[in-house]
Amino acid sequence: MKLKHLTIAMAKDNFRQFEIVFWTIVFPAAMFIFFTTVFSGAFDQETSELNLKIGVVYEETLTGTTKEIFGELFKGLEEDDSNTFNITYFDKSDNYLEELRARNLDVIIFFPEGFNRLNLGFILQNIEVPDIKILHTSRSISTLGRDILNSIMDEVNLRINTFGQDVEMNIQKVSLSSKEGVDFNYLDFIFPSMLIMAIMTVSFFNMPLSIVDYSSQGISKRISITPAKKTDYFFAFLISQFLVLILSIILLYFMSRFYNISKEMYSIKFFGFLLFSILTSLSFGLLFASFFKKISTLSAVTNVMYFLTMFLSGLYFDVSNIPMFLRWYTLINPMTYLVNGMRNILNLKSLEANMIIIPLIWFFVGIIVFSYNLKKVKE
Amino acid sequence: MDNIIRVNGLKKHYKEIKAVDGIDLEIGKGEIVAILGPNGAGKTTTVETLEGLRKPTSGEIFYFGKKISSVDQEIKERIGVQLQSSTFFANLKVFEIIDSFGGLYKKRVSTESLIEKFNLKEKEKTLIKNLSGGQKQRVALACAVVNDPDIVFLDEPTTGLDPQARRHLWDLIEQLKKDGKTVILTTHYMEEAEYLADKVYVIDHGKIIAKGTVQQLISTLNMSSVIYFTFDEENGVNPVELFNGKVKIENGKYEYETNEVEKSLIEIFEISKNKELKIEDLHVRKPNLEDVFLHLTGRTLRE
Repeated sequence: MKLKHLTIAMAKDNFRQFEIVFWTIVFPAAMFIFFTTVFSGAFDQETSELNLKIGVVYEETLTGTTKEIFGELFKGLEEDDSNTFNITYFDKSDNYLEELRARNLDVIIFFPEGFNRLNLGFILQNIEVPDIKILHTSRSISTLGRDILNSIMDEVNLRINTFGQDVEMNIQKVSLSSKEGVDFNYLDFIFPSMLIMAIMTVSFFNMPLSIVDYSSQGISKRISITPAKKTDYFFAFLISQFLVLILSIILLYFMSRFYNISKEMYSIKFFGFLLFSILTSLSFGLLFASFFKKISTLSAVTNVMYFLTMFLSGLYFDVSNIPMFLRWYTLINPMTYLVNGMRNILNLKSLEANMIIIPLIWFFVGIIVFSYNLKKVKE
Repeated sequence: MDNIIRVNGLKKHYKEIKAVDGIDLEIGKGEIVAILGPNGAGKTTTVETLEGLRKPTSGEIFYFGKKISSVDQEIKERIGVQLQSSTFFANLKVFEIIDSFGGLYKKRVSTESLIEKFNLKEKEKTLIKNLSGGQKQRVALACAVVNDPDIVFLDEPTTGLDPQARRHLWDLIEQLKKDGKTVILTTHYMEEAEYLADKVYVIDHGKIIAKGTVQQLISTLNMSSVIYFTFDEENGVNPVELFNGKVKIENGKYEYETNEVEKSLIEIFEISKNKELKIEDLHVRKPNLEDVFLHLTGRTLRE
């Protein structure tokens, strides 16, 4: 009950502060719109004019009616006046996956060995035809190509059935993981940046400044003479900060629905890593509160640290080639690893060990230093 | 009277600084006890040690007849505190802050009744940051009694308030006594201690230098009251002769030292009537706690 009352009081205090609402909730959302509007086109021009590069792979040469159907189909697509489709043919010995990986192809339609059995299907009943595969990546142009090819194949199925043939081609959609196909989607790049920025606003500003403010104003002292325990106070404080952050994250997720971001953002793995990022970052913020007791000093330090961290963690651009006198900070600060961890999850890459270990070290350093300082203050 | 709090030899030292240096206190149930002293005398350190905010260097503290080693949850449920610089969450409304504090105790007084009692009805939906100093102090007082405590600690509750707001707060503190609460009040305003306190502890440099009721403390001075007055026209009369040498003239004013103020006033009025003299600017100065402090330390409370 005490925890509830304290949490409600602190949360109301937070949500009624213009600075907190603006910088934590409104600002990251506004930045998200800004970055996606200004920069997404610079990295991905696929939406300006559709030009779909399709690879057609025959594991065996098509024959008979099957050859006629698909030969005509692809010929028709190639001759389309709008020049929407650009078709390249491969046989099984060609390195068509490399072409997809290198983005020379957007999508591949793969006719497996034994597909010619479709010819028999036109004559006999119960003939099983191997599945056609549509190979794609997570790039938006690729998924669009997948959907277009799928619709075309559905149409072909429908036509065959209209002519009274009881045969059906099954279509298998195969998404290539990023291990196999390297994609770059700016939205997948910037979305984790915005999440980290929102988290950093809470952990670098709201939390340490509130701790020092509550302490210097005597609020924490006033609460300590009530029967509320220190743990009630601490957790109420954390939850109230967490609530502001959650609202900010919800807003970013809501806005992301209007953009084509990897569906992995809804995966348990991503949410787990997001929670890990929040805890690490909050702990990092506790460090600031441990060392500075004056609001003015703390405010100056956190401002410098916030901007340094934001730009040197690769939130907005690649920092792998910056000079060594700056790179050391990139290498030691946890945000670099947290943002890259999120990007890896969105791009279906596995998490590297340092994406867990380095933030984890900071998490424990923050907690230990803060607890030690708190104990000293109590004494 | 039963002692609700007893303190023996309380010390609180910070390295070389002896903030509190061997204080003894006896506080009876239902009393208003003032701890009077100049800034830096050790008043706040003393009460904050009793409230459990500071750990004493040595000494014994008894609450409700029991010796305690620290102020535990059970005691915290029974005491109410108004800190010297009590700031609350600035963006909460008056009703919300009192209600939130109430939620931290097992026993609580309804927020509505406290709003009523402390005249905060008009301000109940106002944010704390938009209140005046006097209104903030009333909220702080309401929060201090939200748990219907047996003991209320008030650390310089009227510092910085205008005379009207101060007077209003005194009335509320008196009401606490009527409600049966024991009030421990620190102040450097001698009028506050004189007006409110049943018992006064005068503290300086971390030590109690005098204790007792206001009258007891003043009586130790052996000082007379002084009646100051002037006549508008003296009509050739020498006032020193007129009052048989009991009056002296200082800065153009007559000073009449007396231990019987009423009798002396009658004498002044009778003489003025008989000699057809018009009295101007008459006032009486009785010895007060300021004099006690001056007598004990050679300094005034505000020095």
